[in-house]
Amino acid sequence: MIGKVASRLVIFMLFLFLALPLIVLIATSFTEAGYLSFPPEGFTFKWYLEVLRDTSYLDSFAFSFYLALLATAISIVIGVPTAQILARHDFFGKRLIEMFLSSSLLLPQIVFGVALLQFFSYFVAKPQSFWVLTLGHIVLTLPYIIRTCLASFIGLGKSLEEAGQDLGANRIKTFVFITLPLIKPSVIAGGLFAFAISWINVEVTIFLSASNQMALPVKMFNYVQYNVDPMIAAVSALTIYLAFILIVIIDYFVELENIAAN
Amino acid sequence: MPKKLIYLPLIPFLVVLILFFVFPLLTVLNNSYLDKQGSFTLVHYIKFLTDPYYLNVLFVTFKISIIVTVITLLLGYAIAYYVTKVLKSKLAKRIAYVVIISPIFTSAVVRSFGWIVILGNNGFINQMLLKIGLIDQPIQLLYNETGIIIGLIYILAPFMILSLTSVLQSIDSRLDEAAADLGYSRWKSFIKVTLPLSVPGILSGVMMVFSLSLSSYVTPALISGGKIKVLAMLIYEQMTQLMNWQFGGAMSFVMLVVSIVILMVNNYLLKTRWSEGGRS
Repeated sequence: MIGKVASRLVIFMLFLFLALPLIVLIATSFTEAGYLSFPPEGFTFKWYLEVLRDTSYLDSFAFSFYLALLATAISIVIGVPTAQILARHDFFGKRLIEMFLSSSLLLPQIVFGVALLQFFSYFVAKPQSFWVLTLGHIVLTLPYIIRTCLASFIGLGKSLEEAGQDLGANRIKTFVFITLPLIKPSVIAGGLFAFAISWINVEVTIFLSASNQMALPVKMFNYVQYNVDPMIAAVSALTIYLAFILIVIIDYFVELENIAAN
Repeated sequence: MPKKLIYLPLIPFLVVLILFFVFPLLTVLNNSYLDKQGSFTLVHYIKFLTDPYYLNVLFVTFKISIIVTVITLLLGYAIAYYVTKVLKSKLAKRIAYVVIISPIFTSAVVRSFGWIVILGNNGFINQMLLKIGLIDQPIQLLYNETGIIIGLIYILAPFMILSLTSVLQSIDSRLDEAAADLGYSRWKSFIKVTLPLSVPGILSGVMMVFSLSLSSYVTPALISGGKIKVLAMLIYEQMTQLMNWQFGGAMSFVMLVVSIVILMVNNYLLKTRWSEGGRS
């Protein structure tokens, strides 16, 4: 009995450990005090208003959002057909591609950031530009799209696609009208995952950020290094709300448990 | 349609992969063995791997990563086991997964910032300990290795938990029932049945957490306030402040090689000792 209570308590503490930092940030973003305090003192929206008045934060929000959206969109266009080919055919070099896909999460992102900076500085005077950043983010997000869609393609089998072709649809028609609707949930889930990966990235982005166009996490990183106050807690809280929204949408399309199994 | 045209849609992917992933990494390698005049030298590697200052940073980085990996495994296993084997209600499981996964969707900046608020001298933990009288003055939890370790465990725990749950939920619960029928206690059946079957999940979780913590930058930089240096911070310094790209490249390449070795060890272990889903 005591063992059971004790193990319950341990599990509760562990989940608290996982949840606490985000809870603390959300709570302190409502504090009336001019410094970070938890539990918060009073309740106010003034830090959120301050963020909204500071256009540099809105600019960074918009910049990061646009960057993540663009990188994700391009990754979907490139990644979905790639996943289909990987699922349906065997070819020379397939093992290498699979190795890249399964290892991309483990490879040190900071090294990839260094690599992009060094590589592009051979070709352009200023590699800290939007399009280099977008290319980097495409490489970061592609594996997520391909991996989620690959699993879905394999689970789907190819009988429905073959049926479509037997009925006279060509390859492109089959892809648009049969394959795509069937794998839509995975594309959306993979896309949201990819969006998040781009949206939160610092290690690659920091090497390619121009000072006048700063992605939100990089701007926050530079700020938090020297300064912590309730205003930046409000910015953080806003990104946490967005994360929750993304998760709820993903959970709607594919159950989180399945993502966990992937 | 001719057979070869089937592979046409692969071209954009291969272009991106080769031009913007493989080539940039080769550039780093190439720069790392050049001196300022552009001729071959190993001086950067020798400097990095013999100078006591850099060796110490390397040592600290490995030490932190090992501690983080061990603790994350213990804590992650408990959570993963609870979610997959103990929790029965669908809703409770769902909430648990939201709690586990939602940190992944917020940046390491935000998550480390959360710990700065909690661990600071006026932070939540110190205030609480002061209030109950366990301590008379705040204990130092930030700007040191303890803080970095706590932050990294938190940041990397979801990866460990997810690689464990994916294996644990595929273990047939009837195996536990069979063990119980044979008179095994719950604990013995865990040691004899569940634990050996979950080794693939443990391996991939451990490798992932270890290599991600070796290369982590944001969390150590924010929580240590620059007072403790890890490898990624040195690389950033060389690349952006000291502008020694060759030396920065050599350090980057060492980091890359270490993670590739970890990856290969992982693949080797999974393939030879444990076939899919269990001991062969």
